[in-house]
Amino acid sequence: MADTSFSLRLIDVSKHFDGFDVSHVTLGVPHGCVVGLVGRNGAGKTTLMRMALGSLAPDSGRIERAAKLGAVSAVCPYPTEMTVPDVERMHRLAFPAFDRALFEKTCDALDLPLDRKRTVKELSRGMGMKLQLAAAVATGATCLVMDEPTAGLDPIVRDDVLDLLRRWMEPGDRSLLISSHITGDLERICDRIAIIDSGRMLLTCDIDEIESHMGVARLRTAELEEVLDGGRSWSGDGSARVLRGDLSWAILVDDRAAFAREYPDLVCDRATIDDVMTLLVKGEVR
Amino acid sequence: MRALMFSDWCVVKKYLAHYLLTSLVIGGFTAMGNAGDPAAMTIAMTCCVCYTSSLFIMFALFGADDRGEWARGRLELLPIRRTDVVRARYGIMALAITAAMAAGFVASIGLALAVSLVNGSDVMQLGLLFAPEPALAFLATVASLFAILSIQMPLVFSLGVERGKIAAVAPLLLIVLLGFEQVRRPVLNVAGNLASAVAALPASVVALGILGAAIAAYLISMLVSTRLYAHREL
Repeated sequence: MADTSFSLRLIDVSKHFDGFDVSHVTLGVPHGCVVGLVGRNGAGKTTLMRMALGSLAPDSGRIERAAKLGAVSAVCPYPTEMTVPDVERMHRLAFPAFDRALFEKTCDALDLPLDRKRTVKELSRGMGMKLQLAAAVATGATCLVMDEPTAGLDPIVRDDVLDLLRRWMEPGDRSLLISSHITGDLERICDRIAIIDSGRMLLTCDIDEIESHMGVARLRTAELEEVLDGGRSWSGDGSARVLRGDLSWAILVDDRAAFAREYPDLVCDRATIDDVMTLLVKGEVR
Repeated sequence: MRALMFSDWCVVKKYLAHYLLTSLVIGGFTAMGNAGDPAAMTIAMTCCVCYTSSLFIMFALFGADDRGEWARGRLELLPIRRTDVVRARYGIMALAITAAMAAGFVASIGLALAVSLVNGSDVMQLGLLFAPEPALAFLATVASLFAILSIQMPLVFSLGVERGKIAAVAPLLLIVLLGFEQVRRPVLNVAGNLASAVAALPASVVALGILGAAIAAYLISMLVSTRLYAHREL
């Protein structure tokens, strides 16, 4: 039976391609929650998004969709011959509840001109993304699946988009699955983070857990040995994730406060999503 | 499905003038071979315009699917299934054939009138267009187009327009095969037997039978395309 606390859930999904596999990934998007999906290029983010949206069928596992999904992809997919009003009309034909006024209001808020003659081909990447977003919002979607929506956008447009998404989330019953390489954007908007690499889910946690609890200690070799010999697993899974830098080692710490109590002389900085992803993907397991 | 047909229409309308003009020029040249006979001119041009426009439109639509990410994007952005994509495309192509036939007919009548005025041939000959033979020619054109698309569309749905270019020439290859005695002889035998069998039937019944068979092939082709497209990795 489907878990009703989730808008969207991928359960143990796998997909095989030549040279790449997504293996047994489970990812949930709870109602009212923004989930950020991060990973390197080719990690499997887009494959997961496509499976979530139904354009790609998983080889195994199942997908539960308890919300009305809307999609925004990195590249504006509409036929290049269509104009902005054509796109609006096509959505109106497809979605009986399409809110034309909301579409126009969103376009206005995002500075997207409703030029009758401007074709999709003539839109910049940012405008194409805005067009998709305005259309998705106006369809009455309650869960947006956005694949790298802020890629290639200037900081001002990115701010506009993130503001709009925050406002869209305000009613509390909506949810968002968003992938991005710009982890700063995810830190600003996400409630949860999922890190994927080589088709495997490495970590899923609340963003507060990263910001409030996790840390990165940069240690000399002797200090690292001391920490590793201390007998406590600082990655929370019985092992330690360490990465050698030019002058020091970085170790991922799951509880910054506990680390500071145990090693008051060692510095442990607050971890960012980038730190966690880098250590999980590139770090050695000790 | 209406949304898909609308998006297809948006693609077609962008190039419509260009395609029609090209088709009319090709059709016009074909018609000029029968400049002394306005009825024959009209038939030649109508059939030529219908053929060229329909094939132009088909490849424009499938090209638009594969250009950018529309083939995948429409499944994610719109509440549709792959079956809807196939049905909409077969629907719009049937409309395109009908519209191309009508456009070709109107344009060719215009051309025939113009030529008659210039070279003084008998305009009244256009009345022959309402005889059974021209109607048979028009129906045969529509039927053969349905038959050609019945072969081409499953190939393009399955492979995409880039890899499915062979689909454009697949029906022509069948014609080339007729150049071989081993193929031509049995085909002519079958055709001859068929012609003898239906000789006693009225022409209208034969024409409708041919059209019905072509439409049946088109519908079967749609089912095949649905199966093939369901398994295509987008």
